[in-house]
Amino acid sequence: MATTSSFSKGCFVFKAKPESSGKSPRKKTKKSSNLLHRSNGDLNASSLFGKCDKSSMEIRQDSYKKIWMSTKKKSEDIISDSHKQLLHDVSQFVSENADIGQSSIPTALVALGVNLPDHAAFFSLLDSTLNAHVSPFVAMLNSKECPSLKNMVLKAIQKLTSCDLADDDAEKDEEADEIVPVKPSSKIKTFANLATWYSNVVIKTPLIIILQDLESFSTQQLQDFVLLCREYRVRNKLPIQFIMGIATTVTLQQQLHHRTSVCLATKSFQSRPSIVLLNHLIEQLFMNSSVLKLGPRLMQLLLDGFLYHDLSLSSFLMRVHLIIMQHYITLPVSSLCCSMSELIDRIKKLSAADLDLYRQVPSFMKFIENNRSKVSLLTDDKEFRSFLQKSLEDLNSYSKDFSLSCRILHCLSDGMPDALFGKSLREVYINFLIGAESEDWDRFIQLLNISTSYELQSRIQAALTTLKESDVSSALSDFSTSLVLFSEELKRLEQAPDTDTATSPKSPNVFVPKGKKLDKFELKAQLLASAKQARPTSKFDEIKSEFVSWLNSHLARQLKSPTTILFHEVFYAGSQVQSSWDIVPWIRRQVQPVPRVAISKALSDPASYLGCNCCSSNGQGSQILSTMPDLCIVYKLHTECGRLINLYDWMLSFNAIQQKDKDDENEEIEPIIQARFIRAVAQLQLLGFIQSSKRKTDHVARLTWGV
Amino acid sequence: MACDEKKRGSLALPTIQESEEDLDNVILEDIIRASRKKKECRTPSKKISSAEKSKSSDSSARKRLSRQCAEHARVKITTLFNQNDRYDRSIYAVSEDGLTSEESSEAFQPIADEEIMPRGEYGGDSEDEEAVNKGAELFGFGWKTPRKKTTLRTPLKTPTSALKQRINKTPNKTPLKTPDKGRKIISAQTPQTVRRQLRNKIVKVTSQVLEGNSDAESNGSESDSSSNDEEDRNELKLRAAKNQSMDITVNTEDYFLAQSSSVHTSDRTLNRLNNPRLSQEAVDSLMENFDDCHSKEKILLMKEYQQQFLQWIFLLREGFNILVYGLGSKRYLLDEFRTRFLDGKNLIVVNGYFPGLTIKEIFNSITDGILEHSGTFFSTVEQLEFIEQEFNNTKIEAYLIIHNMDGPSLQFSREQEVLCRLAAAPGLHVVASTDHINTPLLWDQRKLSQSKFVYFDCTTFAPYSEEISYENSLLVQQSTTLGLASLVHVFASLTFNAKAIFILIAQRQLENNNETNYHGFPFHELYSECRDRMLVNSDLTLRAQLTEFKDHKLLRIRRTPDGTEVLHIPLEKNQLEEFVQKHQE
Repeated sequence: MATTSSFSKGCFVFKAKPESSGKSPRKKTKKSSNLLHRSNGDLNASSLFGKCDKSSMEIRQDSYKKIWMSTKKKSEDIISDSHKQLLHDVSQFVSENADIGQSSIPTALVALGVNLPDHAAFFSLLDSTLNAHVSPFVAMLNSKECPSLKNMVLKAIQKLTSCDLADDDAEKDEEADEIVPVKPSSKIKTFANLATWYSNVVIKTPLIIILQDLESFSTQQLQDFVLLCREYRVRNKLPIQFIMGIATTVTLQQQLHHRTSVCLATKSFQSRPSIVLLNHLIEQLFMNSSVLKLGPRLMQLLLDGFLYHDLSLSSFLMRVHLIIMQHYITLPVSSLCCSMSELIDRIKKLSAADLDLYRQVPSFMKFIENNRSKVSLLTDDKEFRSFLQKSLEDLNSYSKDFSLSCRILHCLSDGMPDALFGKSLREVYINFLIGAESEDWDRFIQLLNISTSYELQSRIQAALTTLKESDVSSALSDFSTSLVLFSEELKRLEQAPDTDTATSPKSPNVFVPKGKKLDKFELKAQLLASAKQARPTSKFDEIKSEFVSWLNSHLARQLKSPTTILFHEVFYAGSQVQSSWDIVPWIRRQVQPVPRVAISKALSDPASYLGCNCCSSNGQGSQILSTMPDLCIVYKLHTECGRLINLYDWMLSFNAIQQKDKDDENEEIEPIIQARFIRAVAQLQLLGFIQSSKRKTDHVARLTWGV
Repeated sequence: MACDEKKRGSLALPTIQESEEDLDNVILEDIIRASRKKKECRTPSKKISSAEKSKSSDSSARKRLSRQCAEHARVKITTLFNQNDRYDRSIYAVSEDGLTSEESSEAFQPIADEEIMPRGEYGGDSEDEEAVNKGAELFGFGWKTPRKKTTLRTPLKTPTSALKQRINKTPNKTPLKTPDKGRKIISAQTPQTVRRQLRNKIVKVTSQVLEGNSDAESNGSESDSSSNDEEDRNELKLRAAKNQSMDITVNTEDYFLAQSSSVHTSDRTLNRLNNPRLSQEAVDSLMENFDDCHSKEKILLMKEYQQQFLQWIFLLREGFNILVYGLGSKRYLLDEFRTRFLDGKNLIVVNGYFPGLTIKEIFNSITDGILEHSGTFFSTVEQLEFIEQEFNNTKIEAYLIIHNMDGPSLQFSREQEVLCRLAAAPGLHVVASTDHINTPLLWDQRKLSQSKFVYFDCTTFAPYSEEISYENSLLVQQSTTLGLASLVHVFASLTFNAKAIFILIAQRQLENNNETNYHGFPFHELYSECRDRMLVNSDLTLRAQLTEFKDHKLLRIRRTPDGTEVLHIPLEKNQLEEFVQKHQE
């Protein structure tokens, strides 16, 4: 292929050959999938058994596609569902203010939160909703396409009228005669034109202008636009309405001059915070019988990225996409990561080599280590197959029970002080996925122990309702029965006011003995004695302790992290596996890419990348070795300087390092050293560490600080 | 229990081991098991032991069978481990043939060189292994894997290498080895004190392991740092790709320290050198003969990155875009990717480091070159919309390779916005590289999520020769002399009045050269002075004259904080002096 460096241009085009472009899409995919297979072929060729199984790769690829498509669809549904109320409110507001009675422009201010990338999804939903229910005349503007007022007006008018054209096309089939001839939209360039155009429109629905990112428009431009619209609204009876998207909490009054803001009749709407959506998403995607789930480390990683970085659902979903992809591609044992209905079939299809891969799964190895008697599983393929099937089915039902148990626990611990396992269901789930600390559990039990009968009753009721909502699987059906039992017992207790409590308060009042003054020590002794006195156990206490012991035995068992179960690696992405199968570091780099750090690290410690012995600094970060690449030496020298660097001195020290071995101490600099130095400094400039400076002759300015 | 012991004894293999090592294993294993149990659940189940007990009552025939089975299993396990290890290497590995394409570019010639690079296959070819060993000796870090010693990567890894070997040996035997036999040896041979010491040591190590168990990455890095037993190609991969300690601590105090301290540098200048200004050609010719000591390592690195190409293709096809970062020019890498995988597809290569590049040029090459659109566009916005529309589905696909996405002409918010919008189009696949350390500041959240970049750390250490060749280097080179030369040329073609004006500015600048707060010649003063000397007749003519200077970069016009326009000649003092003296006559 031709070279791509030139002194006269920076763009080079290579057009696809015509024969391939004819049926390009199909051919391309074929080609690349071939490539994929080739990698798989190689990968298997290197295995000892030498059996090439393209089928495994194909299966994995298919499952990846299937899982991702379903995840995508589900998440889209969830997001559109969650916006439903807001969309309804906004469109209702628009249709309510459809008449042009008032002079001020009806404006819906929609506060959407700082997660800018997610706004696009909302606005496209809004657009379609408005189109369908309120008015076909919707113009969606964002600040990027409207650098000036002129552009803004043109864009708005173009979009308003083009909506109509598109609409006309649709209507033409139905009511072709009634169509009023409309001017070609290209000629409509001013509001005056728009007014005449609108007078010819049959259905007088409002003209809706959506400003997606209010904060990004310049104030002056926005004011002019608003005044302009208002002018035409009043004079030409154009029913213009605004919908403005707000990311921060900036009030309109701050953004606009009073003169302008009085032209707007605003009403604020608030979308649900994205964290609520995320909780919902995680519950729906990973807790409800999905095939692939996230392991604790990945879950934590994604959450960190979401909570501490962008709060954006779309980025979250992109990462989920990457995870699903990596799981199926990197993990050879992912071929069984499928729904239970397909499992038996797939296990049958596994080859001996595939089975060996499953035998390498760490959790299985651990299992064998602990159960010597099952050692025959390593050799007997048939036995292993059935074992595999059973374990995977067990795992599946276990993880179902696990998420349900999390729900129950969430209900039981809801509103407790300290929010032991987290406030939201998502937090509870993740806490137990990671493996909750036993201290928390103990404290939870303690808190339950001191709760009142009413509290306990309401908690159990809440748990029961969640159980009822979700379809109860067989393993947890006894859960609900025991919960019902407890609740009924408590009810009975309430209805029959206990008799034994009436007898108990007979105990002598130790605190205020009549006629006798206690000194400090006596009081203390008495208090201690009374504390030691066994309190009479009431009926309620009995039930409570029964309940607690039930929790300790039954629920706790279900809340063991699924990542302790056999073969969890198959279904839980990012579980601990062999280092080359481990996708977590890779995903971590996607969530938190560190370009700057990578450069700094390579410069300060080249051995970490090059892997050579000559440059390893043995922990002494500042050491400069003559064997290091020139760029690294120059960089390290420059970190010792302040804001300005003298080029001559810099070059001398570079020379000194290069000439360290030689004895002659002349300050003469060889041309080759000079050239190398020049090259390295130019590269450092390209990287952005230094800049030319006019403050002193032959000096450069350092642009970074610290190391 | 006796029965139980007997049963276990029957499972024993005739493995002859040194007693102490065996002892280690036994103790270690017990401890691991015990602590694992403790850690795992609140309700410890007795299943395991009961299962064993029930089995122990079986007949001797069963025992024989199980012994055979165990023997078989041992073989199987060892093969599994070996296989496991070789499996590690080849997730995205391509065969050697795939890697060295015939038309590999010039820069890549060394990779095809078989002498330097041992083959990537691990088929057990003795020749290959020799080459690998040789390579290991040569480069100081080998990826030789003695297959016999291959280790199992259980989650249990010990940080200290001395004990590590022992532990690593265990799994090969553990499923099959008899604890009881070991115990007998203990009582027979090992003194009590030694035993206790050993136990303590192991407990310590084991607890460390179990603690570190939850975090794979730290674990991985530990295993990396104790290098001896994982000396395979993977190590390089891990090192390069994982970058375990990827955090630099930033001390904000440092900033104020750096800013507050006054600059103390010597007054020595480059004029002290024999040849203070090397020309670009001289530098190039000198560097041509210079060979780098790390070329082998660099080739290895490059090779490593090339294994990701398949993944790149797959990601691109899934609608993601690729962004490579890291030290060193990534031009060769991307060129290699282009020639190997994108040959014969719609392709646009953009050299972001090219100073004259405009976004319009990129648009034009897409619309004219790929889409073959004959019409014209009113604005770039319209053109962009057209492109987005065309690539809205994957009917037409094109690959956009951008070297230096943060190059001098692309490092602006508007350009980045456009590039990210291009990247967002489903039909356009972008592979870009960045080098500047402040590049991430260019992207806000919206751009980041729009562009769907997947990041790859490709630290190549390759020289940026192409990239810096356009750059007007601050060092040494001809930039200032060029300025003087152009000044002389332009000056020669000026009218008399214009010459006088320029000399006027230059003189004023020389007079005030020692004053630190001299910003330039104020415009109104210049005007009055010029009028006095009858050089111009109006404000406008002077302005027209100045504009001409400005266009030839002879003059810089700035505004001071108080709003006055000042004029400044961007030349060194001595050169300006020389120039003025020459032309005053």
